[in-house]
Amino acid sequence: MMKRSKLVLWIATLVVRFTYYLSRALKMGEGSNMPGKVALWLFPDLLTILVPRYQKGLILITGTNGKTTTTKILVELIQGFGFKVTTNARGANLLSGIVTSILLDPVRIKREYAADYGIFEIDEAVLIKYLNRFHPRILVITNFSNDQLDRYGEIDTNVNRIIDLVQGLEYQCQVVLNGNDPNVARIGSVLKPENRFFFGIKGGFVSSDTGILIEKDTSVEDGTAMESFELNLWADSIKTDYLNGSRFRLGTSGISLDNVEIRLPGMFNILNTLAALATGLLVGNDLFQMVNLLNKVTPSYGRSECFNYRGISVFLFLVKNPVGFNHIIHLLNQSPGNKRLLFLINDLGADGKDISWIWDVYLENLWKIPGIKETVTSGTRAGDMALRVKYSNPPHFTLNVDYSPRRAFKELTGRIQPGEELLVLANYTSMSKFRPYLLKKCR
Amino acid sequence: MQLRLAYFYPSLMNLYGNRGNVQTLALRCRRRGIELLIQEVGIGDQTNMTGFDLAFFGGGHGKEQQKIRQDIFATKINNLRAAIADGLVTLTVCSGFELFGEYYRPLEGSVLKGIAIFDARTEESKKRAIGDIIIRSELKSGVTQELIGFENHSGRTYLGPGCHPLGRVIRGFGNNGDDNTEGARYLNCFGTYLHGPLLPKNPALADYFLELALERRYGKYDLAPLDDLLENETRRRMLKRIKGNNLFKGRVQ
Repeated sequence: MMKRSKLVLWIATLVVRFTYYLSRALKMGEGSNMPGKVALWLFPDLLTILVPRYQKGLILITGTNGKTTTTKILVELIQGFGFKVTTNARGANLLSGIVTSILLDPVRIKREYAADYGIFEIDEAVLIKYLNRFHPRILVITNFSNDQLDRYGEIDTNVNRIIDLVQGLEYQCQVVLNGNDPNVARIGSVLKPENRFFFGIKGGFVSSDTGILIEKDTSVEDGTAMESFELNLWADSIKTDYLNGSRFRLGTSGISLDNVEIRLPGMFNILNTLAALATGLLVGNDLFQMVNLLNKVTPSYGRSECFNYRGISVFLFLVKNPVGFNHIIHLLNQSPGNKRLLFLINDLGADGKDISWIWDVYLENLWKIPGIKETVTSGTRAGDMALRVKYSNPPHFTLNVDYSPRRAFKELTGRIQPGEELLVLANYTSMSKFRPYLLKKCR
Repeated sequence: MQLRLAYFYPSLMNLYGNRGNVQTLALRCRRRGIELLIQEVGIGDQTNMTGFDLAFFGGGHGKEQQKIRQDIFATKINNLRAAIADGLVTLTVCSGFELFGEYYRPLEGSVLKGIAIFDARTEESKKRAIGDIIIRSELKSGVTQELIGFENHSGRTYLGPGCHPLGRVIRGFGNNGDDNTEGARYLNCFGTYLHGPLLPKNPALADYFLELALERRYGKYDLAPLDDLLENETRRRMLKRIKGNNLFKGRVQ
């Protein structure tokens, strides 16, 4: 490495770590973005120094839902082969968050490489802006659906921008694509066959007309007339077992493996797992070995996590857009026994200010699940969520509104009967505030 | 008692939770023993509007506007015009509102002709108006009501003398950020940029639409009051929050 870049790296690392500890000591936040922001302000070309420091290259994961989980699975699959990986595990997926993650990790300034792989989830809007500065070896696209229209604009605009970007790539980059999502598959149609790799679920599970798993293709009228591509890696014969995970048959050219087991729940996590396996295959990992590693992978932060609060099972589900919310409702279809629901809906910072999306959720499907005894809404938009519940024609149960999540939780757990579970569905900032609180309470 | 609602392009104009408006009308009818029949009207349907009491147009993706405009001119415009002239209670939101004006002029490409129910013209601007909005609306003479919503539009709409605004902007941007107007009204046809969706948090407006529809169909209306504690408390908090937070008149990105 040249002298200046080593100096920049050294200063940037110091700056990031100093800002990180300072912002945490001053309780200014979690310090996941601020340090990187400062470093990028000091050294606008920092990325050109950081990017080449991964011997086997960078892998970027983008899309509306499943970024964090796909990244986590992939990191664990790659580490399982003994490779060193740098990642943004806490979901800080803006440019500043990625830079923070890189420089908080062991930097190994004296060496040419910081790690074998850099594996980062990246916000769709950030990807569009900076793809070419990352020079990824592999780009993974999970799915696209409407999410925070006040921040990102419409799907179609984003998909078209990504199409322009990948068409213009002047370096070798393979793209791993969700073949079940027509908006993602559309991106594949402009790529050479050797540069694209489709994963997906075979069979009738993925339904676009019900809006349960994917958004319809925004480029065609009825959402059905899409070009169909051969899937390079697929799952079929799926059996889901509520929160315990799923079992399925895994297929790729010439090979099929029966009864592959994962501990991550829900259909959407099968797609996340396929995305990670597909990427693992592309970097040359052995499929059988990867499958053996799969059953060690557990849910990430606030994504179907289970807590025990004074003998009560409390489950946390992150819901931040209609399709993600519908996924969780689909998962909860298998929920046994009696339960109470707590919705935590904020409209702060990372949530986006427009919460009209809660009306695009097929909440009516939630009420088909038996055993719901009570629903409480909370967060800064507790009232809006309660109205959403009221106008969705729910079955007979108590509906309570409490703008304080902690009070709502305390009172709800006070009313809960033996054997009942508490299901907490929270959007982004609600989750990041509530989860640490719950963790403390469960200690 | 029965009312019939035509729900236009439910799958193409489905952004911003706009179906919540239809759900609100449905529940508020059901609780009063009024049967609300909802018929979806899509591309190619040549629906006779004379049997309908209410019509709803939501907001859609930018690119779907062209398709909807073509379809409406090809199969629906005469029916719709006649019904609106006859007092059909119609709500159009966001791009639906823009479609009901004379034209929409995008930054690039050719002008999109509207169906000219409203004496209104819309120009696309580079900056989107995004944020919470409160308007004051005089629905019936002497009765004013604050309407709460969220706006997210790049269109700047200017009204001519042939229609009235739906209300005056208290907080937020409104039609164009210049003249304080928001939305439009011509006979019983209403246009607005407010989503959120509009009706769940503005039950008085939902009931006003039902009153207009019942009066037109049956010559009288008698809307029993409903338990709106939740609606009113949510409104109270939102009004306080928006007025407290939003010191600036509008937020433009």
